[in-house]
Amino acid sequence: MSWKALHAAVVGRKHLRTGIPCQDAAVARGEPRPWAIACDGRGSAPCSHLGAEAALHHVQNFLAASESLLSALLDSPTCPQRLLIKDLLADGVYRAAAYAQKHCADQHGGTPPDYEFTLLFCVIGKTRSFFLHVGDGAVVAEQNGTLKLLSAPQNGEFANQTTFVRYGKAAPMRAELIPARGLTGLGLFSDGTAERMVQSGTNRPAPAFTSIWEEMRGGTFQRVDLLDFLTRMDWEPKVQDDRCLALLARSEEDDSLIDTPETSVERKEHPHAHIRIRRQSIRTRTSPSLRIRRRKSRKCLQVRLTRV
Amino acid sequence: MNHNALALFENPAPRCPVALLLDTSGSMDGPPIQELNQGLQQFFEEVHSDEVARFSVETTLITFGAGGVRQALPFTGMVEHISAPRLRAGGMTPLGGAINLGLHEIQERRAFYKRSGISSYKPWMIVMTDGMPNDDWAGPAARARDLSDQGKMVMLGVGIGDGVDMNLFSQIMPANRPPKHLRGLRFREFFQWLSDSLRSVSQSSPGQAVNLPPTSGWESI
Repeated sequence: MSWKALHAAVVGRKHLRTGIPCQDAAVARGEPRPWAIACDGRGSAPCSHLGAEAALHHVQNFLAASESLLSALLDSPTCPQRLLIKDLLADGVYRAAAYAQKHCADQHGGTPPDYEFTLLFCVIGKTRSFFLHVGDGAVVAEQNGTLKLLSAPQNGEFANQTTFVRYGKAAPMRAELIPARGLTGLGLFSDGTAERMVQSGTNRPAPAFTSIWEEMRGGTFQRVDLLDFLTRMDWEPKVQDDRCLALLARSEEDDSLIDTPETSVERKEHPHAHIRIRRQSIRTRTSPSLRIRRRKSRKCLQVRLTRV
Repeated sequence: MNHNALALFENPAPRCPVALLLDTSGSMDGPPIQELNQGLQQFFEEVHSDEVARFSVETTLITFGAGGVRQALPFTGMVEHISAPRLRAGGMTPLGGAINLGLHEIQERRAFYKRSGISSYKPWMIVMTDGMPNDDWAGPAARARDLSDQGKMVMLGVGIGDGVDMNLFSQIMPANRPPKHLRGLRFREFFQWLSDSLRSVSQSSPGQAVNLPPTSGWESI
């Protein structure tokens, strides 16, 4: 599988006006294993921008040292201990990010709470993918052609309340495994970006994601385009916060649609295998939910015609 | 790609509901009610002119005095350029009833936000009085103090003039946020402080402590 990755973080108008640096940080990598991370520094923590930036490196180092764990959890077709390993991975990523706060405090002074941040993380495997979410911001995905919100902003009762990664302390987190099959796009972003890219009330992700992933696959949406997108005038004045976006787009056809054992057998045995393979692919692409929607749609049409 | 064509959501800004409970009893007649009216108008103008606060702040005016307990203005977004209603003084000081109505209106407004998928900041309840309540205030005040103690509401009391019983007023307001005494008739300075405070709230991010401006411009020490 091949994934394209893009990331960017831009400073918000409020921070420009008050001289506070951009507290958002994000990075995404398409290879050797696709992963992405986004952090947003706590507004009242004086050095949280350094903490958010350092977390990216600490998590990246942790991933490099945990490849056997990732492979067992995410690549193997069966993983009987996947729940245990998932918890280990969640704990490891959280601790790696939290340790960045201690490291920053040792290096720059102050205490770990001065460097606190929210955390969004995902890593993709051949069989499963994993995401972790602490605080606000959101994770969106495109799976089987459907755009969906994987993890909604975790706010408190009021608009300016959320939770943060804290060194030496646990925080409420959401850690989940999702099937890698049919996964073609992932996006992680901070609360500033979420203000315009997730519909409040319905939690619907903005259709812009689909267009962006499509353009990423075609190579026509590069980092400069992402920066342009995040600095467009229509974000402001309502969104005055920093904005970041880490994106992953699958650039190849889904393996499961091409190389399933059934189609391979047909290819060997039948002289017109290519025709069958095409039919098989079309059948696979038409998901049961889509078929139900189509049936419902036909039924509605019939009802309308009857009433007329 | 034409990036301008990418669809984004026009989400509503998080709201900050503000209930102003204003004493319009007979003792407020004359310069106090005139100054209060001018201060209110200035507050409306200043919040409306702020590019962020105008989308967030929603204000209701509840008066207690002339006409009993009355909602002079239902919750109204400051994005609307409206004039503050002209208040007149008369009657007694049914502060307990006003707190009751204020709590009810805040609760209803927050329920509306929830139904509409709009996030909100902590509600604010400001009580301004120049006298002593002459109705049953203990129950409503206890409910309001509970919300304040639980961090679910910002409650602030402002005593006006020499006739206000600040000891009694302190029993009505939360212990961790005792009432303040307005210096002279500095209503405009108070409302300037209030609009600055709400501007800070409407620009706050998660985890960011909202530092309210100093009250030295209007508070009597």
